[in-house]
Amino acid sequence: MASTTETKQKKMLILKSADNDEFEIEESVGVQSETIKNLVEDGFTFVPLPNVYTKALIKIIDYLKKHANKTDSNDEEIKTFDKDFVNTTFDDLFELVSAANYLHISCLMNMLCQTIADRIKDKSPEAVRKIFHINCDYTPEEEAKIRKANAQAFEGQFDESLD
Amino acid sequence: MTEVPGGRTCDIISNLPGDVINVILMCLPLQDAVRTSVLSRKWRYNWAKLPKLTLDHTLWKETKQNIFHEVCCMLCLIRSSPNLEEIEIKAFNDEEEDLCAQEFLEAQYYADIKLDRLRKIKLKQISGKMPEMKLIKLLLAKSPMLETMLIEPCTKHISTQILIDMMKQVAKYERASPRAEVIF
Repeated sequence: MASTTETKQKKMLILKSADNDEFEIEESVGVQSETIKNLVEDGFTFVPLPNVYTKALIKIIDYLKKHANKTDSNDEEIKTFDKDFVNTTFDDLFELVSAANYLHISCLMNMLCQTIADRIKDKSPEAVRKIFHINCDYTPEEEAKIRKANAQAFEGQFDESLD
Repeated sequence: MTEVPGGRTCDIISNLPGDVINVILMCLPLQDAVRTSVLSRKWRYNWAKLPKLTLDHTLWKETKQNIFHEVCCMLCLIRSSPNLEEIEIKAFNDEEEDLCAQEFLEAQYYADIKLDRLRKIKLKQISGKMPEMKLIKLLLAKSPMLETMLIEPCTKHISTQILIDMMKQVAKYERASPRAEVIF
């Protein structure tokens, strides 16, 4: 029994990013992603990820490795790692959240969404537009109408910073 | 998708699935979520389609609204959120009972409300005041898919007798969902 678990732990997977870089990881690390888990269950050991770029994939593999070794004693260490992990630019966060969503890693998804929410909280609509790269397609009249309809939400001072 | 770094980010955000946007919006305080309606046409109703809503004191604290306004805001929100599956309401304020709110809740105005998808309701800090009881009655009568309604009484402020009376009263309310369970 012990030997089977050992061989199981050593099973390896290859992940291929959208920019054609390949990464070898342990199966036990990879299966925290539901998408990878399903493929592994179907017998795949080579996993192409056409929606995940190398830059995001490196960070996500780091995250998976860290969280695969979660024990009671390294709780604080993981918390620090997570805090550091999300301490990045908005563009990086969006790329990571998009990858985490594609890979179905729910704990990472929730952490990233909470981080994005915490950081756009209290920001002005103008600042949020810039952060999300949104082009406003309302006419000024339409925009004024929406602001008036939800007037309470637009009262007060908002944060104009983009970080 | 292109390899240009700036262009790629734009693509990623405009292609973010609705689920991801929903999760981000659900992490925001309601007022912040409502403000996203002004971002662009695509965002107009995103917040209103959220499957889960948490209503707490941040909604009315700053404007010092009374319980009538609380209930009013709440019902407007519930009514305009057709995808609502879960709702959590906490922190009614401690002002005395407001007759307006009762009349308002009884009014025919809300006869057409129907919460077809609502499965879970959590009510916190409930002290058995009339507007709260009317709200409980309305939610039970209008939610055909309801599975659980969790009522957390504000035990600091009410006696055991009031709690028992509350339970008795709730047991009498009509329930649109045959499998609805009310838990205290």
